[in-house]
Amino acid sequence: MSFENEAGRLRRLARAPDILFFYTDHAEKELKKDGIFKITVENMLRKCAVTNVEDSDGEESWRAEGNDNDGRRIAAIVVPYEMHKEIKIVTGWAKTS
Amino acid sequence: MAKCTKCQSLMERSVKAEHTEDLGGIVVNLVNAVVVRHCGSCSAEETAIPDMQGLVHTVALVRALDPIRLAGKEVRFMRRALDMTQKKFAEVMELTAETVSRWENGINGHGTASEKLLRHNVCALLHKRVVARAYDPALITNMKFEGGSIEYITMERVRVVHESDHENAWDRRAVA
Repeated sequence: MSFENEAGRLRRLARAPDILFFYTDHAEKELKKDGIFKITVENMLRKCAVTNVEDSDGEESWRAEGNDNDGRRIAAIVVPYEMHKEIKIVTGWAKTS
Repeated sequence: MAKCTKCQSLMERSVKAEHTEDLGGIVVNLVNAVVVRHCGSCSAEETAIPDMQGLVHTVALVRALDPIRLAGKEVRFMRRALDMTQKKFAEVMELTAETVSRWENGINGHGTASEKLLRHNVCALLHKRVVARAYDPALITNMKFEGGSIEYITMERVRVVHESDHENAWDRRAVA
């Protein structure tokens, strides 16, 4: 299932000039483990697809997916705050298949 | 105020005096710029680097204008700063992807002539996006390369004033 509406909103938000990408401690650790740098995540979000939407504690988190510059498939769980021009990256990883 | 992902408590927001970040081949020390949200209840933290794309572009240009020879990982950083695959970068540089791969991995590294061309191309593609730093191609043309390596680059946010407007941008902090 694809979430075209969410994907368009997320790509637009990620491209906003004064957007802030907040990384949780967990995201920092997981990204480091897979050798993914923040610029890679942010570039991916600017052209991503959204493949899942979940609701936890009244907040929607979206799974965003896309490729990095080396052809790797990258995924991240994010929470978009469109009103505040912020995106929280909850976790991220490199997909192996 | 934002809520903590772990415990749902409200988080305090502040700006870090210093923050070290590996951009992927180049380490930067960011002064008075990184925004932190801290949870007083569970000590969780969330950090945000403003204008990461601007930071990466500026660091790539700053590095290209520094005479210390480029290491393979710095070549890779520059390609990624241009948001290019190895294939695309090889096309732009009129090389094979295998040659780019060898440069990035430091195997049979690039020669000085190739390095000057690489620096010229990186700056040509990025300098219009780097508003805080003037770029003169002659700096690279007349460059005498030096040995050694750069441990980190200190960067700060500066205010760039235009005719009727201003904007914040990244720039290298001048060495005292």
